Amino acid sequence: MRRRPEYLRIWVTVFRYMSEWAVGRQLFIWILLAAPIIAWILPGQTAVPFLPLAISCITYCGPAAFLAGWRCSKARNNLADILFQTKAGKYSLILPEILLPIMAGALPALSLAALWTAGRGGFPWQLWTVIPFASLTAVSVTVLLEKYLNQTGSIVNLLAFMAQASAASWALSPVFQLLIPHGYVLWTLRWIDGSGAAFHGDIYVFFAVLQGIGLILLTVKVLSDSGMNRSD
Amino acid sequence: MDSSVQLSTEELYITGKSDEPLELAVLAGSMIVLLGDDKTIAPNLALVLAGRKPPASGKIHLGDDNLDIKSNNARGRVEYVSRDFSCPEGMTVSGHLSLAAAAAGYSRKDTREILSQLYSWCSLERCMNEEVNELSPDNRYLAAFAAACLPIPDVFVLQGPFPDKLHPLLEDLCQGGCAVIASLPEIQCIPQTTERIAVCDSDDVRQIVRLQELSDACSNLMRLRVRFFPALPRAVMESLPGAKNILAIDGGYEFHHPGLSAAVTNLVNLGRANSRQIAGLEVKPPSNSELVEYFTADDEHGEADLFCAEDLSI
Repeated sequence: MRRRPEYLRIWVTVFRYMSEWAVGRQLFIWILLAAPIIAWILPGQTAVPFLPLAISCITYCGPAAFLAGWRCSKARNNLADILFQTKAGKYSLILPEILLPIMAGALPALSLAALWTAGRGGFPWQLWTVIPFASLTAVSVTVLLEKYLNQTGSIVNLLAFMAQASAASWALSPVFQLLIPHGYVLWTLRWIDGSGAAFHGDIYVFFAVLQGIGLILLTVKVLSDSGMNRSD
Repeated sequence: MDSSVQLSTEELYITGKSDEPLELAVLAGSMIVLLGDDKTIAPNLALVLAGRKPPASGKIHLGDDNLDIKSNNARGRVEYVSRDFSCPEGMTVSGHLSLAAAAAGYSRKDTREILSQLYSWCSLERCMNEEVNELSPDNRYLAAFAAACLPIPDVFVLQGPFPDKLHPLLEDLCQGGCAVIASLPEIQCIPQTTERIAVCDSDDVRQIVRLQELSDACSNLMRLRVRFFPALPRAVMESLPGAKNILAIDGGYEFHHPGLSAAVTNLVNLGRANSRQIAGLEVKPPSNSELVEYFTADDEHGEADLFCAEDLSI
């Protein structure tokens, strides 16, 4: 008799253990959530309004904090041992471990963005797109940086976030605004506000989608290779 | 009983050091033991046969239809139970088995039914609400084994040593048509229902033997340690019929004897005749290297024939 795996039950279980694992690392979460404040109070950077910076931080640092260290954690390896060999397969683990951090970043960021745009003539469609894709990129960048730089990857991730909030001339340059994945939400918000964005909001959305899709393909490969010796 | 081949190998080289390809066929309802500790290839071979580790070269097929073990259709048909199994912190036995049941495709209703049967079959009723990581090693192994049973696999690959409580369960599985492959470090761990034993060294499988052959080899190679009170003079000990290679140890002697029951009878008689009490008697099974040496003494190195024609009724 052929049976189909009960994916919903599996995802709920993975969500639960992943959340418990993430909540157990409070110090790391606080360090990452402190990033916008540190970025904001650094001399010369308070030109950037705090709320856009906080929205940008939650979009990016929320998923990064959720996921940093997860791939090489014992809890993740144990779940992979249980799930990878079954009919449900590796995607039963990989899908929730991408979706949960995205939700952890995108949902509060979208709520805050709705508040911020309330007095600015409505919620532009660019934000609906750029926020989830920026969270998706955060997941990918965190996994990939850890894969290639181990723990140093998380520090690089954090520093890059702070750099995107900088008011320095190199941070305001058009090339930098398009290259650094942390910044799309902030630059879109600044474009809405009409302050300092080098491009139209659609351009940021286009690059956020492009980068999000490209990087997630690499990330799925990394996640499916980890956790077990299974070679498929 | 169904005698179809559940798992077979084709030109399989486990490591680059192997002399000959390993030709292995594991039949439905049979149990094979890969005998060897962590210094031998036995644990690695178990991983390779479970599809958890790639071999140096060659292929492993499942069933009579020669399905590649790495293909998606093979998923869930071979289950591997590791001896250092653990779960995420806080996961209970019932939580673990529910997750495994969901992954195996049981609905909620079926899960309740199958898990209650599984708890009772594996004697896990008392610890179903305990954390898996807090269980005793034996019960943790049983929990891992129970989860591996859920997809109803064709082949079980077990990394031993495992608890004695598992032996009758493995017998049940074999009777149900499953093939069982167990990697075990010592001969004491081998279940009675084992049909064949692959004696492994650090490079290769050196010989495949039946349980009776292994038992005979152990009788020939075992060493007995006996301690008398008061101590027995060596000259008297040397008069023990059948005793060979007698070595003096602290308070007694260690020696080879071809038959265990005869040796015990002779020792008791020797003690009585010399007014001595037997203060200690210990049987030392042969080491893995002694077994390899014993079985390969007349063979050319590396010619393990694991494909038993008589099993296949050829």
